[in-house]
Amino acid sequence: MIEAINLTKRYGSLTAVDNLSLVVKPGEIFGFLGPNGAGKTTSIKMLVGLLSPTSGRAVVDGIDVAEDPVGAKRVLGYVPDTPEVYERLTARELLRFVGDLRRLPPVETENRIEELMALFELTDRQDELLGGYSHGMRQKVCIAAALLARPKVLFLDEPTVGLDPRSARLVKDVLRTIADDGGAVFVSTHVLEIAERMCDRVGIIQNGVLIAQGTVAELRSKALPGVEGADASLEDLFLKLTGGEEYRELISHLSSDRPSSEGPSGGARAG
Amino acid sequence: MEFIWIILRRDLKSLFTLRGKGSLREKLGLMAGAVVWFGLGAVLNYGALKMFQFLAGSLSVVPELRRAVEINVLNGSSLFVLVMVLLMGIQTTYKTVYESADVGFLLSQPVPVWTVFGAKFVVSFATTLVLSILYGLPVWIAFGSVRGLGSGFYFLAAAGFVTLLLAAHAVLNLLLMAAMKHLPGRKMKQMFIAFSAVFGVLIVLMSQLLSSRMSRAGDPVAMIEELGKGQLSRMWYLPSTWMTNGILGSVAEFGIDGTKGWVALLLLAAGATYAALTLSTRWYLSGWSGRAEELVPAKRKRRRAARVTGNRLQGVYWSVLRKDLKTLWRDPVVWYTVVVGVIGLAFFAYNMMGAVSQGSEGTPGAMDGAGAFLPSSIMIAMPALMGAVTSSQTGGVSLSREGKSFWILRAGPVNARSLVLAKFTYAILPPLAFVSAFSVFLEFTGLPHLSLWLALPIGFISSAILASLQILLDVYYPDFELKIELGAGVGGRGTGKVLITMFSSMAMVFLIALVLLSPVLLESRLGEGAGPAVTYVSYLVLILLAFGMICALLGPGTRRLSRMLADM
Repeated sequence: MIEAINLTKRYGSLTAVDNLSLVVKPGEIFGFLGPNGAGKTTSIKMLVGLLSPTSGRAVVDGIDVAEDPVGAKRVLGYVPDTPEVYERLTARELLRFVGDLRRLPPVETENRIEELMALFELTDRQDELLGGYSHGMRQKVCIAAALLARPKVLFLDEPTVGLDPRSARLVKDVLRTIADDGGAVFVSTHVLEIAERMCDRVGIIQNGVLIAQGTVAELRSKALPGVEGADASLEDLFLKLTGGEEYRELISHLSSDRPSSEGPSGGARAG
Repeated sequence: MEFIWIILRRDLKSLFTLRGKGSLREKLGLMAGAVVWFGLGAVLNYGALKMFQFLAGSLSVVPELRRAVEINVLNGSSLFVLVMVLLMGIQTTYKTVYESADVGFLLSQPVPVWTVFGAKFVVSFATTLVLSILYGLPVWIAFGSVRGLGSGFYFLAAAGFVTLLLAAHAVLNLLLMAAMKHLPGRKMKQMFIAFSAVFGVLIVLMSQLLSSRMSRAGDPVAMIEELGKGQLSRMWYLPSTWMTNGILGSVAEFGIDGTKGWVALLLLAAGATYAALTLSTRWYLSGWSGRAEELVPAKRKRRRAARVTGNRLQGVYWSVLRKDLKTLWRDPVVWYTVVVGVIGLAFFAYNMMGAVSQGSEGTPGAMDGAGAFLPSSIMIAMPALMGAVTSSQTGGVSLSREGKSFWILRAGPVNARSLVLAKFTYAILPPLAFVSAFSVFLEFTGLPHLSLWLALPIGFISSAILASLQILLDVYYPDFELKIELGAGVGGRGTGKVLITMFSSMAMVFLIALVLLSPVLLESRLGEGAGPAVTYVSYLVLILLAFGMICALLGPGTRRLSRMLADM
């Protein structure tokens, strides 16, 4: 349902994404992990048709995104990493706008808006201007806008940032339901706990290169062969694969070097 | 004070350090801004110089009247600067003091709150000073030059303006701080917009009324009488009067005791600044932190919104157009520009009616011949100009105004052609509305005009040319950081973009007017008999121009937008 074939994006001499190839099947939630600046957002933007790849192809539900971007966008939903919305529209008006862009029947749009607003507990605020919404509320509206047309394929870039635990849990449940109904979900996240619990498969990208993909169990057996299954968390895996372990020593050094309220000279030093 | 200097030093450094890819562009922009600033000052100075020279020559036998007129002019310019501070300063101050991106960071540092406020106070004061002094000081320099006054006068004039602006700025900050503490942030913004808009409209109204009265006065003596009617110097309670009296106290011929004016002005400036800095310790933090608060809207509004259902036109074109128009109604800046445009147009008609009743013995009315083209072409060009100015801030930059929300369109099933057409429709509405309404209005006046069957198509074609130009400019040079309205974001970027759109539109209006005027302009060369033929050729040229612009919009413009939708 989602296919990246040797997707590459270069900005001059910098290769942001290098030969990314992956497949996400119907009914699957794919977690896309990586450190900051690894190329997650660039990859998602190429898959969604917001960024032209330097080379390679992105295919969504059998539609080549470069050849038929409008057709591809008709079947997919997208939630960006920052929930920027029209501040002078209300949540209901924004969702109507999205419904009209996608030519949903007005009655269906209205019913769907009611459903989604109730789901995300925004019913009481849906006729307020979005300019007055908090980050988390805007995030919920963006997710609702992506879900409005019941897309077959859903891309979410850091969807739980700014959400309270209750809403984050709700999003996880919604995504699971979509996948169970045969949809494909591609989600990038920093929250490894979410990826571990929610995703059927994960991919780890570093410096633009997909360095590993598979189920958490598969990655665990490949990357940490000596460790018993339940003892190695996805965090351990992530740090092992992305070279994060070297920072642990630095972090422990920094924590022992913290200045006291008396000023830098009065800082207690751990041994 | 040390902390204020540390913060200011950083601000100054970032202002004067131009690095990176955009450095040449930024430098050029800065230079262009300086040229425009000094150019405007030179123009004002030249105009004032000519006026004072005229007064010196024509009123040499009545020095009392000359002095009275000079005091009125000088006081008027000082008052204008004061009003400008209230009009522009409130926006500059709000943005600098409450919406600068670094305020949150600075307040989180171990420095007293008043020092953060103090640094922002200085920055906003400097900005206001640079913007406002341009409107006043050149007049005083011209006055001193004609009167042959020494360098001490110029120093006093500069000092007077700085003190006046400091006083006004401090009072403004006090009011702003009090309001920000006690009113919710977003409500405040709306209030400021209304406040600024009212002042702006009043200034336009007053200047138009004055220019109308002056133009109707006919001869210079009547104009002087009109100027002499002003009683500005009697407004003793205004700080601008204190400043005028203070500076003119140094000119012996006027016989004014300037000491009282200086004392009052200095006391006000020092007292208000001290009060603002002192009160900021208690008020600034709570005002800043509450700047984005929102009131829960009334239930009545919600019920009304909930009723809007049923069938509606769908697809990219209609939904984008409907969305743009919906946000249009909620934008006070638009209403301000529309009101200013209507006022300008109304006074233009009023002045024309005066000119026609004075100068023309013929029977004005609907005329389709070449002879009617001089005034009747202007009757098309003026509303088109006003409409283009309005759309320079609305439809003409509507792609840029998508801002960071542009991803919603980019991620949706949006084809570029429908989007271009929606934006074109949005951009054509203001000039078309202005031209149509004005053409209909002219039918009921005695002013020369083209008949409706001719005026409306010409108006439509002219509006289409202007809208195509604006959308093309917006597609090729978008600025998604564009923020026009007060309090919309950090820095209020995009003034340059709006000005470029506006000036380009004005140039296009000039070109359209030139084409429409060509029958009159070419009459002497081609002979009277060629009039009708040239008229038809001018129509054809206009149609071809519109055709070319629309083709450029639907061809290269659409392709460019298509690339933007797929890759940015």
